[in-house]
Amino acid sequence: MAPTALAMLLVFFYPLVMSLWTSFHYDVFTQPERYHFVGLRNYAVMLRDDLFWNALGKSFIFFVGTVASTMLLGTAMALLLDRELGPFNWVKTLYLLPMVIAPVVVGIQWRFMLNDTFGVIPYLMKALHLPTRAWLTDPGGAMVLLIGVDLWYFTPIVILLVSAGLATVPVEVREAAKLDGADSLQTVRYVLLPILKPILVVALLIRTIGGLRAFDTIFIITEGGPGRATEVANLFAYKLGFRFFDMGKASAVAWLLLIIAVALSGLYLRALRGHTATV
Amino acid sequence: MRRRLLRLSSVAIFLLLAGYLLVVLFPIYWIVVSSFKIPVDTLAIPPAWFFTPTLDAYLNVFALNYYFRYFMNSAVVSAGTVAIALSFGSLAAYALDRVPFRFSGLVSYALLTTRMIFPIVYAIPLFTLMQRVNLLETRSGLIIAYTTFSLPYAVWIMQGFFNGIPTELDEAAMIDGCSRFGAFWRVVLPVAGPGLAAASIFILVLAWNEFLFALILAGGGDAKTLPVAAAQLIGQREIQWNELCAVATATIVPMVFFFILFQRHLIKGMIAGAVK
Repeated sequence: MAPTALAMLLVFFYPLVMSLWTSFHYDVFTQPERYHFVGLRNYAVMLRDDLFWNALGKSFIFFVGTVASTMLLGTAMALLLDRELGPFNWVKTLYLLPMVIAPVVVGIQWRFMLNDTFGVIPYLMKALHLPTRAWLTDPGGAMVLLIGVDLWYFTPIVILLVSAGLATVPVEVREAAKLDGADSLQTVRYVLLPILKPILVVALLIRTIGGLRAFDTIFIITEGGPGRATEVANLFAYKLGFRFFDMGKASAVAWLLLIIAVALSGLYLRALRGHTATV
Repeated sequence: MRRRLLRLSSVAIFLLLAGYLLVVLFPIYWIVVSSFKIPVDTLAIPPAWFFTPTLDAYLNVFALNYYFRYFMNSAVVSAGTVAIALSFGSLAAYALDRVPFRFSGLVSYALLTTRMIFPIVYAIPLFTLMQRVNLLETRSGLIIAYTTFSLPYAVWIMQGFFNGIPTELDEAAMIDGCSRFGAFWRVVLPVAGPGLAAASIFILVLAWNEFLFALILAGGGDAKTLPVAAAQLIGQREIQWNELCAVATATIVPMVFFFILFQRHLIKGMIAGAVK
């Protein structure tokens, strides 16, 4: 038993340590002869690099956008779905379908539907006389689009978590609320939401990590473009490492991102500590 | 007066739910349907809502090109990942739960933190490592790489389930003459069946849909998985959209299939994996 645990620790921590180690070196894949220790220079260079800050900013915009929207939509949908549908109860699981679709395919399907020439969506928008926008070639639009796609893909998990939380609310609590004269909206605001707080924080945590990690869909739909308008930090690190083969700098970016993520999670967990973490 | 308002809000809610469902299902429907169209229909504007279906795209992609191999790669890698994650994971979870190990808490916490780590942080050293031991562009290499995320989930989910199994069961088994491992293998594990199902389905989906690792560690050769193959079709100059849709559909159909069959387990797994 213990050997298994040890082996596992090895699998995880060795690459981690190695990644950190790489970030302290000049490590360009195509120039193995110039490998040498540079200490924190990679970090310093990155922190001074406009492109890095651009990437970080894009990551921030993206993650705030997706966390806010998925939390709002997911919670709202979970509350709406919190009713008996009789013979149609199975329909509720359909809402969770996006979760099993490969993010790559999600990227493909949206890219396909949004194409200016033959995409369904521009066609429908024009037919309905809705304002059209060159989603893929407009910097602001591209970011909104990516957030929208992420919303499509990740809302289900929020719905799932909140629904699970709602299921643990004992019937007596709801009945008591009704007896006290609360209508649906008031019940939600004053009774259900406070009970759901722990699980909402969990969902928030998951979405934050998810929002910062997002890669697949962004890669497929815009690849960071137009220009660098959607080049989130993740993508930036990938390009550094596997297009320019600068592993050292890429590792540095990855670690910087990681530190930020850990700091954010720490903040969340501290907020969670104020509530009972039972589900 | 109250009742009329109530009915109005019910209608509104129904519309909202229906509308949202439409948004959720339409993209999936569109991609699947488009894969059965001839190229002219696929790109038609106004969109060809009704058309004569054809299997051309699938024939081209899977029979004439290598995509069947990529499908098999995905299958093998996913199955392998599940197998390894479950075997090592359940063992470790059992150990963590049953054996009073000084560092159990630390290990559990460490596992939690690994889930916070972005794949890109692992990807770079894994690439260098695998390159040195010649494991790039291999299915085994991918399976090993995937353990970085499949194992934590396996351990996490199984730990939750083992927690719910009373230790009396183990003790009874050991009194009857089983060794520690025997108790695990013959008694506790079967009881934790649902846990295994939940974990395997969850990890299967995760492994099948994995892109970044597959791209970096096996993006160029014979061990390509389906998601990577689909993505690379886009890079080409003239995208054959109906074929792309065929590959995309092939990528999602198995997972949708598993979803419908095993949703209860999948959901259990996701909740167990997400909630502490």
